Amino acid sequence: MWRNYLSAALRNLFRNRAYAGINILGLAIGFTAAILIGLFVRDELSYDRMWPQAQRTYRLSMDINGPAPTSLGNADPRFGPAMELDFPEVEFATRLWPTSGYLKYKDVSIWADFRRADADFFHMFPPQVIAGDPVAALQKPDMLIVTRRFANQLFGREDVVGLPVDFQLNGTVTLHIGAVIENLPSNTHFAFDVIGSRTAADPNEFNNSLTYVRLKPGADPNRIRAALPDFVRRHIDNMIGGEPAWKLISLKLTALPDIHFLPPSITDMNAPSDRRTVDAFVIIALLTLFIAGSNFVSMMTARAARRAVEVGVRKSVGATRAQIVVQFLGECAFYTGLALGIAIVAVELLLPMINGFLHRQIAFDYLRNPTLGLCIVATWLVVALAASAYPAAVLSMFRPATVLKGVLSLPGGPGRLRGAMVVLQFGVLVALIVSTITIYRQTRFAIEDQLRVPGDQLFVLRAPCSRMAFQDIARRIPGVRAAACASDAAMGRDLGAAHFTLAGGRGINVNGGPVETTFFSIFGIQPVAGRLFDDNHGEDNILRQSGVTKNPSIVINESGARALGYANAADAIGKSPYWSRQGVMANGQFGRTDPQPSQIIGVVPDFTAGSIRNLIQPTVYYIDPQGSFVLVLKLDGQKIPETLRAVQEAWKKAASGRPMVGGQFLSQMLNDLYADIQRQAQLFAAFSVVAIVVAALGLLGLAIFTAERRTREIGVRKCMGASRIDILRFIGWQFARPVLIANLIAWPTAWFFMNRWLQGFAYHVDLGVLAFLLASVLALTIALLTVTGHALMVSRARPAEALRYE
Amino acid sequence: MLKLEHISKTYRAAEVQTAALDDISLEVPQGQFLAIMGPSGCGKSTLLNIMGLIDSPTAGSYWFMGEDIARCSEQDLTLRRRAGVGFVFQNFNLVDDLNVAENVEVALIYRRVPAAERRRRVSAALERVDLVHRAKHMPKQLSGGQQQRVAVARALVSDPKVILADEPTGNLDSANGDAVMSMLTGVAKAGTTIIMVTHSEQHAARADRVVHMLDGRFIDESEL
Repeated sequence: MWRNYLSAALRNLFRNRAYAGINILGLAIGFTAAILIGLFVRDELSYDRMWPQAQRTYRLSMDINGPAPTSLGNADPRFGPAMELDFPEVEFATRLWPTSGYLKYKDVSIWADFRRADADFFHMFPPQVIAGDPVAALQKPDMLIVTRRFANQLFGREDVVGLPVDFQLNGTVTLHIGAVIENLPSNTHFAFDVIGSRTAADPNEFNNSLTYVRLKPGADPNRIRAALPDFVRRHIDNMIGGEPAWKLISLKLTALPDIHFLPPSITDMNAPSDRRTVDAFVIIALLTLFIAGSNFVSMMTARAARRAVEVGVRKSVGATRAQIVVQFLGECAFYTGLALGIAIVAVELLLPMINGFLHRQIAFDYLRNPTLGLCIVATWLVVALAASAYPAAVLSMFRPATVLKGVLSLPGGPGRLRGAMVVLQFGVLVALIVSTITIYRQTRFAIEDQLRVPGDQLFVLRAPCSRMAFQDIARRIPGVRAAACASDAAMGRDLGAAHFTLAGGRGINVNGGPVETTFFSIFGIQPVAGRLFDDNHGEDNILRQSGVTKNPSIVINESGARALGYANAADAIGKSPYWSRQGVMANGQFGRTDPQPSQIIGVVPDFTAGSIRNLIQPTVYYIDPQGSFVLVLKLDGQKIPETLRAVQEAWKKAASGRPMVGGQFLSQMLNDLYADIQRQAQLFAAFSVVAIVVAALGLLGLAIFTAERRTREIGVRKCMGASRIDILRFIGWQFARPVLIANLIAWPTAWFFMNRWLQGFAYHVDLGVLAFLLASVLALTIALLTVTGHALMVSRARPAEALRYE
Repeated sequence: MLKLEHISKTYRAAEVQTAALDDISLEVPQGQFLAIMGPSGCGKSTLLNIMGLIDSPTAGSYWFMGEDIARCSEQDLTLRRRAGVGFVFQNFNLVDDLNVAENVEVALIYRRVPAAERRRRVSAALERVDLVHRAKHMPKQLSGGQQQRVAVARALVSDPKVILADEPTGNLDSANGDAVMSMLTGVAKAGTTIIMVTHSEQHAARADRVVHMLDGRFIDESEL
């Protein structure tokens, strides 16, 4: 019996190979998209789950309350050890501190952002070891644990345990390689190539650290969370501006697997993800599968009439309805199985490219991972069943008495159902196109509109302005139109510490950004009130002299003016609030200075070269070469390559051969900053194209079917005088109408979801009506183009041939 | 063997009601070759469909091999059809996606006949209609006469008690039509009950009995 069914299925497939090909290809594309998205989502949800006891490991982090609340990924370094003592539920805590500097071996010098770790860091996060003993290495001072990748970069090989490495920052310290570990997997929030053990005198020891705690089995994290406010109160006893500092700090305990979905923070090692993005991709996968599946149903049902005779014969010789249903369920399962096979091959071929694009190591391990294999089989069965139920039901309902006489009456509704499916498919399509356009616009806005300066002419590198004075050298290079020292805080890419004391003794923390006189002009920023820094005003640049503890003149941004309580920008000009900053104190040490007055000379608009996901902080700008480690060069747009070469040559001479750090155009920095949403936008676009292709394939199949079904009708119309244009218009309208109706579903749906997504940005584009109109026109164009080819062919046929068609 | 009593069949479409059969009574003993004649639309095919258990009457009784099956469900009709009915259609109704042998085999696969037995019986049936050499050919590779012979083989392969032939020679030329009629006559002589609808007086003459229909009723019959 099954051989008979299989023979019929295979020969039917071959006989209608074009139609079947469209059907199976559409389903294969749907499966491929669904599998790829499923793998991506699985990877997203797998972050940090590979660490032992990940479910009872948490990161402790701080939120700073104030005029522009900020979430940090790190915490006061005292908190980790204090939690071990205060909470019996805590098994142990460990910490990481960021540090950076040159690591040099023989002639090779690499600028490395690495982490110093507590001795028990690898107890909590055991690495895959290639050589040496990383756990033992962290117990000793001045040891480095490097990844395989870094070992090859610095040494050119991996058997490097015991080798010395010079660490150069403010001086040179010799460290030793204690172990080599495997590169970190992509699905972790950690990103480091070098871990260093604690040193005897670590200048960063009092800086905030990434702090992790492991709870004992059965411990309730919510009990700890409830006790954290008291914990902060007990351990933070200093005052800021007459107010207890603990009032400004909230602590958060985040389970390790959830870190990846937290909002971005300036302390992130790897760009986090947005849970809503993952959900959106799941929806896209389901929608693409739905479009492909409904195409399949639609076309199988449309072709049902061609199998009517076979069904009539089988029923006449004694096949029950159930046996007919089983036959066609099996046939559909065969077709969907074929489509799945094609999809599996496609995924194997595409996955390496996707991994390269996303910088991930996603595996398609359905043979090693039974759960994945079962999911794929289950998806096949569910789709096969769902897609075949209706066609099988329709076919099994054929009455032999009618079909064997050549009179076929299809049960009512399949035409209406097909029409409904086309409407739904194109509704999804229009919504996807609107989403893609909106994400693209937001990405462009983020990258280009914020600065209003051509980012591809601004070159940014790291250079200690006070010690090196490379800015003076750079200004003399032909092709360098301007140079300005700045800081990450001034550019919105970090938080600088500045504290203002307001009337009544109240204090607020704002972002403090050291800059240079030419900083604002290089970014094309004009004041909204007052003036900008000027070398002719001595009080602007008093910190150029060493040992000065007074505060210089300041420029604030509009958010800063509001935070300081001024009614408008002009009101702030000439005022002299008391404030303290990071700098050289009276005792000659570096730290927070005593509060001193500064005259506000100007107010500038809010601007940032950082992420517009975060609110622009109230910021105070002041000239301080000691705090400026970023150099911005504005290059002549006509001579960029040669100017860049000259800058690099000049750097080599000035830096005694040390490599340039940073060294990127601002546009590239912004691209990197928004790399995640750019990739998101590109993925959305790619899957929109997939959905378009699948929907278009479905439409093509329906066009072929409709034309065949109406061949006699078209012949009759032509006999009655219809021209080719009339026939094209007739067929075109069959498909244009559902596409137009689809907009009624698509517009409100797309508006709802895109509006929510845009709310995740502090600054965003408006959701205008143009995107919707464009999407609708595009969908209609696709629909008409798809059917036009076949419609042209049909319209050219002779009426006599059409009337003889049977 | 087959006994119809006061059979009526009415079709309803929206508000229009059509009486295809009106109070038909008929008895067909085992082994008889019955021909039914009449103009187009008189109800011949409807009567044949009811007798072949692929349609049900609206009123009346139908005794099929001693059982009244007029009110049977579709499932019950299917099982009885499977057990003892063969069909030959005017437009052959071969399955395009199956070859000759597979088309004949279709009549056996729902009867739970083992594969080896099926192959033997298919071969025997094709031999009977002289088409063994075309077993692997597809229907579109055969002439009309050959296709109808395949349909006859399909009807015979399951050893049915009754064969219903709806204008079996309607789409054939006279030579092929005679050939098919000879096969059916031979089958009837072997004891199978045959009920045939035909427009051809010449072919009807080869039956044991002819009944004439008009407007859903019998108007006369003759024994030959």
